[in-house]
Amino acid sequence: MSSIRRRLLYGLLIGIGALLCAAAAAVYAEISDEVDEVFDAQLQQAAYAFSSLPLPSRPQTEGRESADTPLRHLVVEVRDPHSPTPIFHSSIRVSLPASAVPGWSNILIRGRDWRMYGALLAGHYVAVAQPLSVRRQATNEIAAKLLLPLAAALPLAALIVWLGVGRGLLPLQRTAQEVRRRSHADLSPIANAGLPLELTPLVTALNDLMGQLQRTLRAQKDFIADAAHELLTPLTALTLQTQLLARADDAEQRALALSELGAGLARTIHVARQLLTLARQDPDFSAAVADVDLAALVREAVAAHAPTAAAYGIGLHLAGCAPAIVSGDAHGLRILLDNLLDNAVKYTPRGGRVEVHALRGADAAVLRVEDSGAGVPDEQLARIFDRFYRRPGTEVTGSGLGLAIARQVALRHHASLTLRNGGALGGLLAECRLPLAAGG
Amino acid sequence: MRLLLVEDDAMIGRAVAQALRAEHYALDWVRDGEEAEAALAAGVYDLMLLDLSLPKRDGLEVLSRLRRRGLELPVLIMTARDAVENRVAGLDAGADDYLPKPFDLDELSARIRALLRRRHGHAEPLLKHRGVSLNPATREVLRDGAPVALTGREYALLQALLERPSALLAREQILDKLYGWGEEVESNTLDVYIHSLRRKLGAEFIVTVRGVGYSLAPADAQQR
Repeated sequence: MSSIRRRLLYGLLIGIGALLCAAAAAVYAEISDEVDEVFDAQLQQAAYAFSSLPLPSRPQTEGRESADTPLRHLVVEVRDPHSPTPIFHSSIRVSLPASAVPGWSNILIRGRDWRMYGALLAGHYVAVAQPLSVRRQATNEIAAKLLLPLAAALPLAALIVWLGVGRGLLPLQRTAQEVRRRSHADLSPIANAGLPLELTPLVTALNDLMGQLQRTLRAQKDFIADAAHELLTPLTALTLQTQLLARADDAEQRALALSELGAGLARTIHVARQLLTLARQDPDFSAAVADVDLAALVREAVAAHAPTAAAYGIGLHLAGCAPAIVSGDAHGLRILLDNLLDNAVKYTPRGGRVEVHALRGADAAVLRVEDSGAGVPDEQLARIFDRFYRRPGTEVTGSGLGLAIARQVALRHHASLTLRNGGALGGLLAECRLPLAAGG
Repeated sequence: MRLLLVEDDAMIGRAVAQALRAEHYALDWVRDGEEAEAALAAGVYDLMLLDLSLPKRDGLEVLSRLRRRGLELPVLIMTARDAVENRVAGLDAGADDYLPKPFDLDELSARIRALLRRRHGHAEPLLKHRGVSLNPATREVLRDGAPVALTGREYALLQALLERPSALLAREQILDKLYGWGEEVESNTLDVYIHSLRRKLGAEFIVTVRGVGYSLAPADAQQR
């Protein structure tokens, strides 16, 4: 698993380490240069110093040196420029090349690098040489003194980075803790105040999601509560009706109570069925989508409602039926039509008229159900699609779900469904615009 | 006893009205909050049965407005909103009792009787006066221990008189207790009921106050 902390630590430490190494290398190079200069100057000075000394008449060496003395010191040779034999020779173990030319040169003597300076001074060729290892050692000693604190800074930097990264990630941990504390029961938003800029979009998105979740959960809870409540009403009626039936004294009362009980049962079943339909028409519910012949569907629905309409003394007419093919779920669309027709027939007084128009526009099929009823006051129109909303002051005992279901179906079909007053018949006008199927 | 039933559901309303009328209550049934307030304005009711989810005006609002006007009419809430907080809100708004739906008709009757009893300051369920006793639970009337058969209206009239034995009830007051809306009241009906009650309970049991109304004869020492 990738970790921001680890990634930051590695990145920062490698970067800082590289930087420190580069700095150390630069410092080392600088020290080395300086040391070279100092040692070169030393060689040169030694050469001059020897040239001004009185020279011995025959070759001699410094006597103090033994074979074990480490070769730290300068080796000096003084020669006649035309003779290979040195006049003065400071070391018995090291002899400088005779062919040496004046100036600076690096030479190899017995497997080691030497720095040599040669010069013609006062008629003699004076050569001074020193092993390079001497200056390298000096360089290393100085570098060690200078660079040690730098090296010590590396673990310190690591510690600081470790702490800093940890501190920087603290809000992330706190947010994680906050999120962990949430459950389906507590979807309260996470406090946004004091959060670093980088976390704000994440927390905002989380809060949005939780808000949405909360609304969905609440809507579901409300629905269940509403549904239970809505079932209680017909169940109360049933309870009372059964008790009245038990109390009935004579055949006539019994018959009346029985018919009331039957109506109560029918109503309870209707409510349960409508609830089920509503759940099935949920936008998340997937149903088979196919090309639907809307005209045929309208004819079937109108035919199916004709007996009820006749029983209520209402004229139900199919005023126009233009052929149209829409893409959708035939069962759902039939429910939509049924509910609109139901509604119109139920709320239209005896002797009234309900008209159904199936029209075809440029890009949509238009279904209209009009009635000659009293319409709906505007303040109630706003709530008419609400679940369990029943128009007050009406004798009709519906589930209050019909139009809510119709709207769900319309939503699923990307159709618009509107109800307004003032159709040609003077009552309520329901209009549903369904997008035509491609080529329909 | 005249009751006001406020219930928007037709089936429940019909059933409750039928059951209570069968128990000789005069009952008016209204179906929304505004109608309820209009009916209450008449001030003739002994008790109100109140549903909470009402069109036009919520039941709790009807109740609070009633109590703000200082009316002490017993109110029994019958509702499907049965959560504890709903009950508390209902009782705090001034309800005397709370009956969650669905309920039993027998329980409804019993609670109505209890509320009416308390309203008239009786602790005892039996109403007694001069050897006559009336049991609202069984609707049984005894005279000196012997059962007396009464019609529904006679029973209601006797109960109205027994509720407040020392009060003088005006004819209109009595008629209001006996008849709901839309029930035909003939001008001499009350005289007919008074007459038959006197026949069944003794001529001196009910006293006529000319031009005003009726009251029960004062309880005398021997009878008590």
